[in-house]
Amino acid sequence: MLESIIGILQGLVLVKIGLLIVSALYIAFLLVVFKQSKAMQNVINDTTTSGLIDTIAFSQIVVGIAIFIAALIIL
Amino acid sequence: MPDIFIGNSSAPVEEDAPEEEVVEKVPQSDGAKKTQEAPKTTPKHNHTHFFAAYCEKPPTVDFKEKLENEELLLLLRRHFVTNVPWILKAIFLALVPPVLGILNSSGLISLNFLPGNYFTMLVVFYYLVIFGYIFTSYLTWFYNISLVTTQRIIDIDFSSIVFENVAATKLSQVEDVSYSQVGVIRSVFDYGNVLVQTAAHVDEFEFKAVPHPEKVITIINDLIGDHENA
Repeated sequence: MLESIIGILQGLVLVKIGLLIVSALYIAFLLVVFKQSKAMQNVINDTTTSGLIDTIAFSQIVVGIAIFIAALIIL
Repeated sequence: MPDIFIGNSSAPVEEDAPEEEVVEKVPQSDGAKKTQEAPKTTPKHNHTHFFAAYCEKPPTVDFKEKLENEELLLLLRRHFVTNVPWILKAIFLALVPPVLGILNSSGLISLNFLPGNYFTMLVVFYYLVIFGYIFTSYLTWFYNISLVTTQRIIDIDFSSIVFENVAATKLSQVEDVSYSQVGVIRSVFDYGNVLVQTAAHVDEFEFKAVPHPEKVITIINDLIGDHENA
């Protein structure tokens, strides 16, 4: 009984670590996306659209970090 | 039969003008057959928005290394229809969790091997990844741009988020312009590939799947003619 509970908990810890690693990598990817969208705006800039694209790229990073922190605390 | 389209002989229309004139036809109130034309000089496609693929003289667009007295005449992207494959993929992927939830609640499959909070986190992360996929696909489309200016043709390639390439050639080096429009979908939505052959280091520019290819080559040919005459 105890062994099976420990086994389940170890499995859950592995899931948690896996999710944390993947979300950290994804945040790094989102940072690259943000940087690249900024770089492309230097090449060609459309004032009507660039603001919203920046906002979406930045809010994705914020959500990614929020998920990382939530996974760290809740799981 | 009333005549709807009666041309105004006193107002000549330039056939080869790159800008399309929007003509308003206002019927007269006295029941006469004549219609009144009110030409406007504003181009039809001059405003940019998030899904614009063809823009003539966009007023809000600026680009790097713009030359003196250089004016942007055309901004081209792939036709928005070319985005349908990734949009469908994203919709399909977004539907996977609800379908799995329905199957789980109906007892066809069992998803009880993880606690509820783990599932919630995984689903939220999954949707973030899908949104990231949508956003990067959109950016790849949005920043793959071809520009025609009064002096140059510029091709900006942006793919896989980390690759960018900007190539430009002067109009005086353009040798030949042609387009191909093969297939039913391309004919229906009026888009095709425009090939610009040059004598420069980059020997050809291809504007892939751009809207109104015939119009594009007309504009480029007019510009080349103007340069040769000048």
